[in-house]
Amino acid sequence: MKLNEKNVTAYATCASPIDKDGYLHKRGEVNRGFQRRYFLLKGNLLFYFDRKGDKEPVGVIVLEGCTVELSSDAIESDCPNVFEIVFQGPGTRTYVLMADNHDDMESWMKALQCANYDYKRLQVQELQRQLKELEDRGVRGDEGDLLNGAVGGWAPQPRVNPFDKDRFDPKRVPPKTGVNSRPRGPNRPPPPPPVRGPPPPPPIKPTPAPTTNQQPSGSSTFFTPLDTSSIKQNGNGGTSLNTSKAASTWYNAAIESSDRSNSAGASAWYTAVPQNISLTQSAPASTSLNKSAAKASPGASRHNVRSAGVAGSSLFYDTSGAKV
Amino acid sequence: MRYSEKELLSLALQSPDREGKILHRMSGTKGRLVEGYKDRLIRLKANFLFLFKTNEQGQILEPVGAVLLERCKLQPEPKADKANVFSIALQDDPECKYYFACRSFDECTDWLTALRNASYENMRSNILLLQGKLSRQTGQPGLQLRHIPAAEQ
Repeated sequence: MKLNEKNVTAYATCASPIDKDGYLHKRGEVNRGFQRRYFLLKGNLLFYFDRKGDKEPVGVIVLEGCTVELSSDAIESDCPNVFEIVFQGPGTRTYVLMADNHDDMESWMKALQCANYDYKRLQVQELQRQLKELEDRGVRGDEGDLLNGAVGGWAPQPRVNPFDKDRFDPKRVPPKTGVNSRPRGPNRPPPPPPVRGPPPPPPIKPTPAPTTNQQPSGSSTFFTPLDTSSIKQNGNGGTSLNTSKAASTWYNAAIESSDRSNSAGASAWYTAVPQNISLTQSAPASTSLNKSAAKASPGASRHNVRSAGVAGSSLFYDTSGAKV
Repeated sequence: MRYSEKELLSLALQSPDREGKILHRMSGTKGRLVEGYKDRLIRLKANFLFLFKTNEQGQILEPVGAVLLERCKLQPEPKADKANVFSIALQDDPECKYYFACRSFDECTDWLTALRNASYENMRSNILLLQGKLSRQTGQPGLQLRHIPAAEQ
């Protein structure tokens, strides 16, 4: 069978990308000694030259239908770092190669194993599948599923942290001095930066199911502050306390688990973009939230849903924080 | 240059990605005699195109040629002596072309598409493209494919 050798030679020496190159020792077919050759891996073709820079390769090995294995010879004799390219089928040859050191051998073996055409094809299919999965998640988000929707169809936007005291927000200038500021003694440490109520967990609204059609154009529209008055309706004042405590516990947990560098203040809660949401975690915080939901008056049955949504969402954020 | 002929042959005999009967001729470089079209069976496998001789009954005989489909120019040849012809021109000798005559225009287009997509370099750039898209969507560098051990392939 006539291979167009000129073309293959031209491919060896042309400027196409090289996957790996370096010197290896190759055992001859007739002469059983090892000869030093310069190997060049391009795609699924392994060329070998006398020396680096030669115009024409001594030979080429097509890496299809072969396996790359450690050489049994290496164990028997004193030659370490020997591996083989083994072909199946009648009359085929096993190429025995020796590297200079163990790391070289490993890196060559890895490169040769991944060189074959089918592996690359699998890579393409896998990436296409992952892309499709991401796109599908975006589509599912429109169906009102809070958890999925929170991820889907939402391109990462630069988030604004309303609690960032360095960021000037005319609506929310913390009182530093003046009528409403706390009295400060000369030796008192300055109060911690003011936080308006509990840090806002995901929205609890006494409204119909939160559709994820409120796709955030900015973060503030998606995460509206918790309406504390509605929580108080659920039960006694203790409930709201529990809620806020629970919320802050949850919030702190989210902070701790987030390793984002800009996680100052409440920004951790904003910044996480979870890739995979799993509902396996149950933060202690959410338990108290659930309890408060259980105490909800029947009239506020929607709150149950919302609280569950909150619990789910807090799980959501915990997970994302953890995963980050 | 030595090449692993037996191994290449076993690749040729594996189940192909695409296969079809076709008419083939070579175009010569200056001075070479241009022969007429011959009946051939061509098989696309990985980034190789194999040519087989067939007998009168259409059975496959021995393989007569293998072409590496990297860095080659694939184009339709509307002005050729037959209809629905496409050619493969190789980088080392652009004058020396492989001409293939198909039975229909669709077949010609299909073959051209298949051959264009077959090159390893094409797959490589596909992977980079997809990784880029993924990283734009997820904000991460491309999701890594786990290493598939050779045994599973």
